[in-house]
Amino acid sequence: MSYPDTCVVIPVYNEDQVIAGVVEEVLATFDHVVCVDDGSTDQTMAVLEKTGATIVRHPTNLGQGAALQTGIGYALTDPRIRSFVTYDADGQHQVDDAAQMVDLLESGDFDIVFGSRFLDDRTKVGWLKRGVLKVAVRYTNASTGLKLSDAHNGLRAFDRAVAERLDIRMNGMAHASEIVSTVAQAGFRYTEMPVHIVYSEYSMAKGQSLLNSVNILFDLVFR
Amino acid sequence: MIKLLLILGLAVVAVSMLRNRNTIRFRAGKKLLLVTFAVLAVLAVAFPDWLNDVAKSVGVGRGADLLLYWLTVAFLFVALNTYLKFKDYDTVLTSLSRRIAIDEAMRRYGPVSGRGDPKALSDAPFGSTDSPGSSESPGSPIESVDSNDPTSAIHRP
Repeated sequence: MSYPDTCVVIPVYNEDQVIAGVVEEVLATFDHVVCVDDGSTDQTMAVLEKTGATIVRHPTNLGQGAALQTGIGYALTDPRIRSFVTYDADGQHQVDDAAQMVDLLESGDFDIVFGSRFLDDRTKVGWLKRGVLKVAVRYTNASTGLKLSDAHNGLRAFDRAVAERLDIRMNGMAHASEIVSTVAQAGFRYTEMPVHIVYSEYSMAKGQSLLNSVNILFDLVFR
Repeated sequence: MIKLLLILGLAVVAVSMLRNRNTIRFRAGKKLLLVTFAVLAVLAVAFPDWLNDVAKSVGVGRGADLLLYWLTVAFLFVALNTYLKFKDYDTVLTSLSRRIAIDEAMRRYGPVSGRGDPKALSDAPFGSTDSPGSSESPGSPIESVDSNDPTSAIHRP
């Protein structure tokens, strides 16, 4: 298994503690890993240079949405890349999940496969976070007409048509809803796949505060 | 009366800002509004009674109160205008940074799947790398990957 037509895009911002492990893990399954360094100020760049990942570097910090769009834009310059995976840098995703999503994508029935942590009970989510995520997904579903169970999951796999259509303008975290609404507008065939999110102490500390949902909402209203 | 005027004013501010903020008409409107505001300010200073009369005619007790209401609407306009302006600059900055990032990666690696041995590429550092980890000499040759312009294929939003 090497997935020569797939490019895994990992937005990275100040993750020097874990990024090397995450990249090596992904590279064991996927040939092409593009790490978009979003202007990190720690040792992330030095650590990344030692891995086998392709590094695309933002001159300044712009946000995760911007980093994703950059990584996808770079991968699109290669006509051999047929499918794209978005993957978080903090180690909360499982490579096997990503591989399964690409397999499903390559079956040809769907244009995009979203990861969802709520389709089975492997992922332990705190009640407050669960509540906020549920409200978020309800809002996203109501505004796009799609039926998803998890709108803010960083793990997705999609084909070239979706990648070409994507134009993420929400530089911050609101891009998750933006991707869903792009899929809705273009009428792409979508599905969800259960994925396991591992909340380590590290990812909990690094992860976004629930308060950030206020910022996301504001971004979505005043776009 | 004044309630209606204020709510109407706020609504007009919000809608016009979000709808057509970059049209010539809207930008000209903003300048005209600014001039009107300045003229009104001068008039209000020169003839304080006049402000009182206007206030009474719309159902507000004093001219000073009317001024406060008017300033609230004006402030909201300015705040929203500034916020959206910054957002526009954000978009520009993002496109620019993205272009730089992708160009740099293309020079360094070429397209994703064409990537060779990473070690062979390690002497082509990022131009602006300021991490202490990389101490390569500046201006070391960056290998050119393609004879045809690689940037031409870059996805542009």
